[in-house]
Parts: sequence; structure tokens; C-alpha cells
Amino acid sequence: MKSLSDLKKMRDEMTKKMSLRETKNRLRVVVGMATCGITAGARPVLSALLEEVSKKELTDVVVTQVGCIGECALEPIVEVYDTQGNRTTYAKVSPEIARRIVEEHLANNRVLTSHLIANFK
Amino acid sequence: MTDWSLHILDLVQNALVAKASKINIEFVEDSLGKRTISIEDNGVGMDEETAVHALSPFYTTRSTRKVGLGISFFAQSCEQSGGVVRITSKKGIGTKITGTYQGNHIDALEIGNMGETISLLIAGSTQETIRYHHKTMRGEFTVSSEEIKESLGDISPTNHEVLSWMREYINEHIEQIEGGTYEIVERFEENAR
Repeated sequence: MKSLSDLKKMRDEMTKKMSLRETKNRLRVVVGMATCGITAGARPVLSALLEEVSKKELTDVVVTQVGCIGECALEPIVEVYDTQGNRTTYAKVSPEIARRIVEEHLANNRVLTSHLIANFK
Repeated sequence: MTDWSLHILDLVQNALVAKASKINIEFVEDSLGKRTISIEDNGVGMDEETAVHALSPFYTTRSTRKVGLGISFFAQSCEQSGGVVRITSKKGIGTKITGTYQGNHIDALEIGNMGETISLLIAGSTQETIRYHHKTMRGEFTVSSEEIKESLGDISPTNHEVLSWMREYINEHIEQIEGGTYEIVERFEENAR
């Protein structure tokens, strides 16, 4: 059975290998988590994004939740904003596609054109 | 919505939109098997007109679309399994939404992956404090974003190892106090002997 003391152990281990460099946020990723998004499966998509971003140590990427983006029929929707405010919108994202977005777009700056919202409209 | 954990994730978004700094989630079973889910926040609250309309699917305060289905879906899930939904709200004080259902009702939803819901809420919380309390006749379990963040110190709760630990920690503890059916079956067998 897990207890809160495990967390303190994890903290001690992680602090040892934590890199202390300060990084600016290069990309901001938002997931629509309103009723429409949640019923369409946004929760595992958000989990997958957070997990992959953390595993790949993309410390300059932040993943956040937002409400309804306004295209309910195309949820789960994931949007990527760069520092200039340019937006890339992915529609009907599954956890697998979310992992590919991290690998291609977030890590290697290659837009995953096959899953852009324009393909579904 | 296919389970209660998704309903809770959805309803908490309302509290976040209402700029709550404290969100209290409870999932409580009484001795008759009635279950009560409540989400209480100290957000902006609703005036009387908004509160009266909150249960209607064709009412919403949002501008991106013209329907607000979250609370209506929750009410439907409660009502299909012998329960009701109640909302109390006061402008400037906060809102509490309470839904009940019969745990053994044939149409009752499953609890679902509560660990994922609560861990994502804790990981996503910045200024807000989120507390989850789960109580059955076999015991109770509480987790709060405050205690998690205190144990974590400088480590981010969005770290993948922390996220999966939180998910499993919550699900393990809930599992331990759920599944009361075993005891009942044993008791029946004893009586039959």
C-alpha cells in the first residue's frame, strides 16, 4: 500500500538528478477539458501529453487545461501555442496521437499535418 | 459520461471557472447503500436566476456555445439510479452541488478511474486547494493537493513518475474501502450453513 512517505523518497531521489537550469517556455499546449472534451476522451489525452512531455524532459513546454474551445464535435482538441502566439490546432486526438504530437511537434518542431483540425471540417 | 470520475472532473471545471481557491470533493456511502457525491467551492457563486436555471441543458453562462450539458448529464446519471441533484449557491460565497444515487441500483454508474481524475486536478492546480474525501462503510480516505505539494517540495506534480504514483496511490486506497460485496456474500454463506 502506497503512503505519502513514498513521495518524500521520490522527491529526494529526483532532487539529486534535477537540472537547475532555468528555461523559458517555448511552447504552451492546451487541452479542452469542458463537458464536450471529457466525454470525447480528453482525460487520457491530457495524461498522455503530461507523461510524454515529462519523460522527454521538455522543460520548456507547459501543458494546461482549458474549457470549451468551441468545436465540440471535433474533441478531444489539443492546441499548441508558440511564443509569438501562433496557434496549431489538432482535432480528434487520441492518447496515441497525443504521444506523436509530443514526439513530432513539441520535441522536433514538425507539425503533424494529418491531424490538424482543417482535415476534419 | 460513462462513470462518476468523469462527472467529477467535469463538475470541478465549473468551480475552476468560478475562480474558486478551495474545492472540496466528497464521495460518501451511508449504511443503506445510498451514495452522495458533492463538490463544494468558494468561487464567485450564482445569483438566484442562474442557480434556478443551472439544471437546464439550454442554459449556460459560457459564450462559446449555447448549451451547458455538464450539470444536466450529472442529474441524469443520478436520477437513472434512484437519486437527485441539489444545488445551493450564494453570490460571493460559493456553490455546492450534491448528487445522490443508490449504489446497488442496476443502472448505477461505476466509480471509474478516480485516481486519474484527482491526480490530474492536483497536477493542474496552481492557486487552488483540492481535497478529495472517499468514505464507505469499510473505511475512509482523504487526499489533498496541499499535502501532496508539501511532500513534493520543489518537484512538480506534473512529473510523470509523480503523476502515476498519485493515480495508483488514490486508486489503491479507494479499492481497499470499496468492494464491500465480499463481506456480504460471506455473511450470507454463514447464515446458510
